[in-house]
Amino acid sequence: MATDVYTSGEPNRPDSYGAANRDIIRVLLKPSVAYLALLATSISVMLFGGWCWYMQIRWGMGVANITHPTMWGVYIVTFVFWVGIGHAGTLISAILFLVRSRWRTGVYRASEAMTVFAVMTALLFPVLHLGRVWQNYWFFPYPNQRQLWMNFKSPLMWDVFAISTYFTVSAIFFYVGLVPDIAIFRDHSKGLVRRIYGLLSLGWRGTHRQWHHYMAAYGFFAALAAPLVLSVHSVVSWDFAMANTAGWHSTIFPPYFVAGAILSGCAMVISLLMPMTYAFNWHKYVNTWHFENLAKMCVLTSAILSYAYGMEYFVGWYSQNPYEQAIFFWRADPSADYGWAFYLMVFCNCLAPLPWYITKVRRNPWALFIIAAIINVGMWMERFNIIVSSLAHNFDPATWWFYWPSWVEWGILAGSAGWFCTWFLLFCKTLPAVAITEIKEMIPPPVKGSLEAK
Amino acid sequence: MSAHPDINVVIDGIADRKVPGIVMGVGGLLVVIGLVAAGYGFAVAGAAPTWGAILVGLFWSIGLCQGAFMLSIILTGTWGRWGRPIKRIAESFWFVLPVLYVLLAGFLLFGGLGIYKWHPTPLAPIEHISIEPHNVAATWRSKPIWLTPGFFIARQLGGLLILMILDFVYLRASLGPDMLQAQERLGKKAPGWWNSFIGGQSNVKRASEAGQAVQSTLFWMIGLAYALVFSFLAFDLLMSLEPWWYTNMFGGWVFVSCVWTGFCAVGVTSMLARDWLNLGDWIKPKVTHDLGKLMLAACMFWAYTLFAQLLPVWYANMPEETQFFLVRIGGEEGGLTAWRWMAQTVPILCFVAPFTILLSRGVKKMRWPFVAICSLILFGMFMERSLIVMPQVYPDVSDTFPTTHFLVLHVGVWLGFVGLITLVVSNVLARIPPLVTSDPHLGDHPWDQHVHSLDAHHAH
Repeated sequence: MATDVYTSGEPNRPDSYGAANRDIIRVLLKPSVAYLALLATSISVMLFGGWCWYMQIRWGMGVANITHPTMWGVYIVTFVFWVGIGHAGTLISAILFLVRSRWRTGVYRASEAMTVFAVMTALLFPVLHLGRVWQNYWFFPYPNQRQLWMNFKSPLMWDVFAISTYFTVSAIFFYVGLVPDIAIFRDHSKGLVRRIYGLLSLGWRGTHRQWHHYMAAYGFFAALAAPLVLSVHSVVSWDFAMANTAGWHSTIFPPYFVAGAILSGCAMVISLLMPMTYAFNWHKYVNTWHFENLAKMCVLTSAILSYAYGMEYFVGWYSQNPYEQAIFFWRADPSADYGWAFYLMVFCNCLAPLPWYITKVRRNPWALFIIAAIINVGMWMERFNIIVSSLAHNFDPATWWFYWPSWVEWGILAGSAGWFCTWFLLFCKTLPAVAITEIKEMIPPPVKGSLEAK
Repeated sequence: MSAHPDINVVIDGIADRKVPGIVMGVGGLLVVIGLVAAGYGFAVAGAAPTWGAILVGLFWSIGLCQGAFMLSIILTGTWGRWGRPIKRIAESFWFVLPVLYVLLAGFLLFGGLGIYKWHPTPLAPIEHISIEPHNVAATWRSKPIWLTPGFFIARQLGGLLILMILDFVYLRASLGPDMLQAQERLGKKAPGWWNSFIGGQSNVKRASEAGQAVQSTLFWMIGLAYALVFSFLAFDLLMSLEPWWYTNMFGGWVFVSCVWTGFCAVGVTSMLARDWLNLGDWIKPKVTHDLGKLMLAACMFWAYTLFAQLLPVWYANMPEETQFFLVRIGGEEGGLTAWRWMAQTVPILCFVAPFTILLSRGVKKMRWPFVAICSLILFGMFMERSLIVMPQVYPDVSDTFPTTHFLVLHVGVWLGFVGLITLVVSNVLARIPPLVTSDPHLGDHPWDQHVHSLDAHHAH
């Protein structure tokens, strides 16, 4: 018989509500040496990135290699990459909630946290990219008397609104979901920690009335967040598609970017949750069943992405437009400047996920971890391939040149990863990274006086 | 687990089932209307508008039937339990495809290609323009390769044939075990031709397991083949009517809209035929509620992908892109007014009305309102396809919409295809098990009883 997800991958459930509490709260215990080492590494890398940024502020944008015609380099590539990573969390928590997918329960909290931290990371890059950080308030439509008003016709402005809306809704959605679980942490802690958790849990007592309002609010935010998952990366894609630049001006970009974002986001969830599961021994809550479903999401979105790559090339060829043909075939020319980037992108995003069509591979932790890491590299390469190659090889051959990031840009890229990991590691140790209350909904309700009630 | 309704009621109903006279009558009448309309077209309106009307009807019908079949594929691929009661109804639309395939071959071989600008005179390669070092000599002259009659016809017929064969293997794996189960109960009352689907199997459980395995193996292949075949059908049959215009979202936009029409067709059939097929205990309001939600999602996706095409074209304002829209939408820069009302009607029929109406929970659960909204969308998609094709087959029209030809020819031919689908699907459903009786995923999962507080709320 065909493999049935309901019987083959069903998660092991904790025995009782009390056991669920104890398992999740265990993360609050004294951190291990490995955790501290990871945290120290992340902070160090983040500080290095901060120092690189300082160098850029100190010496000017000249220390970065972005210049005409490649005015968008690693900073914008990385910005789009992190916005993409921020997609999966809300997809998993909101859309899978609305379609009643059960496998989200074990993984959605960590995914939501990943979303918030990834968008926080992405939001750094417009600031970094513009150089004069002290004038970044120009992004926002504040009242003033200097006749300064942003250009609402610019997709870059749409981006500011799309991403800030997405961040706001995702953060609130994340926090609303956390409230009952923080109350459990509060009830199991003492002293100052208890006071802090008490403050964060907003006086949650678990009364019927509170649950009623909580469920209504949660459903409302899920419905509000779901279209934002589509809109935010569509708007990001229009940063490119609105331009007349060959290789950018493409109608397929919005769904193509959204699919790519979900692919990278799900791959990142696998990359983050896999080590956490082993480190905190969460096998009862996050196991093969969840990872397999995440892998299936990756397989689906990878297929959509492959379709989009193929359609871009086919229509570029079919159009008989020399500029369209020139850019697409130059990108794919192995001897051209960025040919390697194209083939690396195709390998990582289209070919590497193919083994996940095989059930055994989807259930192998190492295969999951390695392929997810490859996809993350591939998704960064995709943005590099789109952004850099089109600018470096635009209409006027006199402007063609080869862009390669400087060490400052690489440093800031690494620093962004350090910033993201630092936040995530702190989150894992201070807040419930697995949704305790929803896990409990999968356990038979306790009967007064029985073992399950203890 | 909740108790299942009795599947024997469904099986027993197969034995003496006949298509109601009114269905045969209306279906037959619609086919006659279609034929008369086509005759009127060739005699009065001219060959190009008539072939255009046939193309619209064909594309709409092929998309609808394959799209309906894709609902079954989606249910298999996502392990969806909610839609199992309508899985067989979705699969029954496959039986129209061979008929439509023959009609498509007739269209391609007997004059339909005449409406394409690249036939019979192939498009000239672009003239030399100085864009060195973008060397024009190195530019691939794709149109003379891609848009040639032989290759064009082979692509359409070959691609669709491969897809239909894959569909059939899947269909046989789904239908065979149910036929075996029904045969065991009905005995000699079961039709003899079922044996070709049963294929020598004698144990229902083993046949069902084997069938599920085949379906699980094939669903992604069919999904992939569908996306590719329908993308190229869209590029070729529709987009190449205006051979210099291109948008790479077009294929995806069309194949998603075909799935959407398929959902609507399954919705209409489920609501109208559920009592006739003894499926009243299975196709409950919650099933159509879920189908309606899927339709709402497809509606939003249609609008999203249309907007994704319109916005960059409007923003960039390049003549080679805008002219396709200007002809239809009209405007100050050389747009025509003849097609403007259609361009205004399509978003209302395909987005504004369905989106607003499908937000209602009640509409998705009540028979006649649900049939009405499904029918509205199906008509809206006919209008959408007409808007793509008609301006290409009435090149001389500038300000006056060809109202008579539209009402008599285009709507008439489309009604003919509606009649054809009605006749085939109703006759098929009268002769096969209308429910996936041996499917292990038929019925609720135990977890559905205790998943989330909102689920309990939803169930009531």
